[in-house]
Amino acid sequence: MTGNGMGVALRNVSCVFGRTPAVRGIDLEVARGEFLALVGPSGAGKTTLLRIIAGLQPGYEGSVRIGVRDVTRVPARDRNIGFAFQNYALFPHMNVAANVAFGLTVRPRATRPGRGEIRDRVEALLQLVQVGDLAGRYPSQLSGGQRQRVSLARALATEPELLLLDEPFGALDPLVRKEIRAWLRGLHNRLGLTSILVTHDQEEALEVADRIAVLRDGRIEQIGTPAMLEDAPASPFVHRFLGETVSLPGCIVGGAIRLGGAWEGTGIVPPRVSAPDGPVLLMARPHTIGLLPASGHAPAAEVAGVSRRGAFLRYRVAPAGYPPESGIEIHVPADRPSIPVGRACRLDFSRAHMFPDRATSSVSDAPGLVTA
Amino acid sequence: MTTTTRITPAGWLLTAAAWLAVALMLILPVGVLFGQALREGLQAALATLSDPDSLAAIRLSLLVTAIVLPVNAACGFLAAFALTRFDFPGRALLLVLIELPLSVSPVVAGLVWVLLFGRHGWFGPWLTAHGIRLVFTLPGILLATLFVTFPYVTRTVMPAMEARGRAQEEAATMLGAGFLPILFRVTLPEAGAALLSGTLLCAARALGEFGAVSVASGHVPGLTETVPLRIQALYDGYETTAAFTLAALLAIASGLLVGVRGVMEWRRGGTGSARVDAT
Amino acid sequence: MIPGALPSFGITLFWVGLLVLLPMAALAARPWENGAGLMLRTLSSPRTLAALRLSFGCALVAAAATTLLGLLICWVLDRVRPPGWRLLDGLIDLPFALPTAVAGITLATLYAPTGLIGAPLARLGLPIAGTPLGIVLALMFVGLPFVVRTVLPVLRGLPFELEEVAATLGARPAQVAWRVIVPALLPALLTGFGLAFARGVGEYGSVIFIAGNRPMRSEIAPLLIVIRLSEDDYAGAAGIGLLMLLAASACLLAVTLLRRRLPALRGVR
Repeated sequence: MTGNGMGVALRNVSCVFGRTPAVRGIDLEVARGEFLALVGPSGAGKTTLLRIIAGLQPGYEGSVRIGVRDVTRVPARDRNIGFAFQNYALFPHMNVAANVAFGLTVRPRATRPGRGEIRDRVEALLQLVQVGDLAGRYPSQLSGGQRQRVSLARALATEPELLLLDEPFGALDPLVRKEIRAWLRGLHNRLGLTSILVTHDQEEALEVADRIAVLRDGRIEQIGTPAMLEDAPASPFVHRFLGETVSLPGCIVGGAIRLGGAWEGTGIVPPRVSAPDGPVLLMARPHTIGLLPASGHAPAAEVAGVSRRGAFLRYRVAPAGYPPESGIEIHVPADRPSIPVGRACRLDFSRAHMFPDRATSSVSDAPGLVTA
Repeated sequence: MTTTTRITPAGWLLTAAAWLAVALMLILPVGVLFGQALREGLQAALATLSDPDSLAAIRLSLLVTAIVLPVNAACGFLAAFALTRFDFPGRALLLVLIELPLSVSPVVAGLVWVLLFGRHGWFGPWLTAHGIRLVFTLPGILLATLFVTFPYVTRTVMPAMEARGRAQEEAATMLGAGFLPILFRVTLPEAGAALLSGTLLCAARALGEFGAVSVASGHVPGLTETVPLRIQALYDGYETTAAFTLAALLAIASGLLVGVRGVMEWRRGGTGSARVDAT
Repeated sequence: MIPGALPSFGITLFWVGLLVLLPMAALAARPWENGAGLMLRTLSSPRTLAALRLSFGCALVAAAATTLLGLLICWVLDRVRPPGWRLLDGLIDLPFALPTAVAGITLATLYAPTGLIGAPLARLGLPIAGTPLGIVLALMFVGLPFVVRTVLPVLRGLPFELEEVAATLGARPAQVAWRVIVPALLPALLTGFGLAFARGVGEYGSVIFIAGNRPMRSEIAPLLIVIRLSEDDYAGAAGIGLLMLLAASACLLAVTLLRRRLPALRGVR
């Protein structure tokens, strides 16, 4: 974190739509200069939270501070926040220059810059977002990426302390998205902005953000750096949300893990982390599970199938004697020696995570699941 | 665009029936209207228009329209803004109230003003005591016309605003714009076409309103007679040519307003010409 | 929040309050000022009942006829599409463009015993002017665009596949129309009917010239209001007005409720 002072602070913020709470008692601090991503499935409350910070959401409880100001009662227009909307919300009847200049030209006369100054500022901003030659175009004549850049220029024109981005890349095609994402992160650094990004795409969040807050049902499930979230997910939900997940039910008895269901008794290399006795969920990414030669006489897993996908071999591994569908998927770099179908294996779960399994009180007999 | 699929004999039969119905029910009356106006020749028809009472009626109708239009356009537009840009309890009720005048008989639309401001109206004694006459005079005509043309602008503008969503107004808010800049620089340019379309409809109805004005007006030739009332007076006085000439003039004005709107709606990607809300 | 909630609401409420709420309050309150009993007696007087029966009856018949005719025209406009359908489409809006008084004197002239259509029909012993038939014809003229403009967009939104599927299942064209398309259009037809009916009940300008206006026989309810008002009987006039408004509202409400219970195409208007 590059924090040198407070960017944004939320205290016990709640918001209720009718009877359903959309945001429940959220505390959140964002350091100045930080890039925070709010992620979560749809309905988790991330956009609502962003709109509360912006002041666009009426009827919330709790307090919102931006910098040194308590803005809880400050109307949206006076919060001095840059907001990039999901579908850009450019004014279709104004050309690009007028769109960018809007925030300056609506100021009261006393604080409004002169015409020349506005023109220079707009020009500089358009250069900054690399669409300097499009000043005279209308939004309908721009591509998606160009619109996104113009909407950012417009948001930055009023020199906001804080930049809020609501799914800003959602409408872009994947190639442009990747490029503009990197560019946005660069811009954030160069201008020393504080930014909060809402996205449902965990990959996007992992790539651009300093810290990620995972939201679920209006609460923050976990907040931390991408590395922290990867290394120590706080719950099965966070683990599943951040990427493809292999999940096996098990049980800790006397400090040792035993797999349950179809995997009952399968020999594995246990995770380095541990958990108290009781039912657990063993979770790992397909590429963090190791495939080792079988050893001893514990029932082994069996390679039931293999396919090549890019730089990885995808093995389907099932408990011996079970059909391939009940197995799990394991990704191994394609440059490793390949393992023939039918070979008995031991699974290396040393990099896996374990969570107390609240859903089942006894060892579940469900076969291993693969969830994306 | 026009499909060139083969039309079956049954299709032709239906087509013939539809055209026959439209010809008898819609085209023939229009033919009669102009035929009656011109039955003594164009010269005679135009001559009837120089009747001072008719001229006064035209002036009054234009004056009423000129006053009613800006009021209902501005208020209707603001109402559409309030209804689509904010969430609040009672929104459905407000909408019902705004649409209510559409299901009220024109006669009732005039009647209510008499009930309020007539000689025996709620405020009648007070007004009489102060020497003010509201109904059977210009204000009565204005109130009646305001009532019947009340919903048009809101009804036309609201769907357009609703379809566009709030994002642009929210973007303007985040950029520090206040109410009036948002209204005039963001909302109005975007909803301008719909506003114009609703206003045209409002104007057509204001010019042609008969029932409501008939009840709330004093029918004094030259003073409180609008064009439709004048048409009635001429018709009842067996001045057929004069009545139909004035009627044709009114129909042309009204037709132009509705026609321009139809073309606008069509070019806005509407379904065709004027929509249902052209009540 | 977008700024401007207070001024836009303030002006809207003032506008609605002055132009709708206040008049409606008067309409709702004034019928009872001489007591509910007198009120009911006035409303149930033979002349009032006759006028109400005439207005509602004619509106009902006219709305039903207009709905059928409107369906025919919509079908031709969208499914047959003969050459010149655009012209036909545009002509449908003529009644919207014709002020009611203009329509009134025109229809009265057309259907008068000496008129273009009235004369031959009168010779056949079918007088129109001064009879309920004349009122129905005038109301059909006024109501037609309501039905067409409600039904046509829905018909246009109905996929051709519906008919094609039905045809591949062996349905004849007439069966397709009556058993597939019309049920799918039912909500729109109902709405069109409701709008035409509500308009017809209160219609004044286009009817009074043709109606004849004889008490008990061809006197419509709106005209009776005008007469009561000219007799300074405010309560009586307001009573009839209130009854008409309630009836028209109830009709529109019924249509809305009925539509909700129809299974077909709830999403389509």
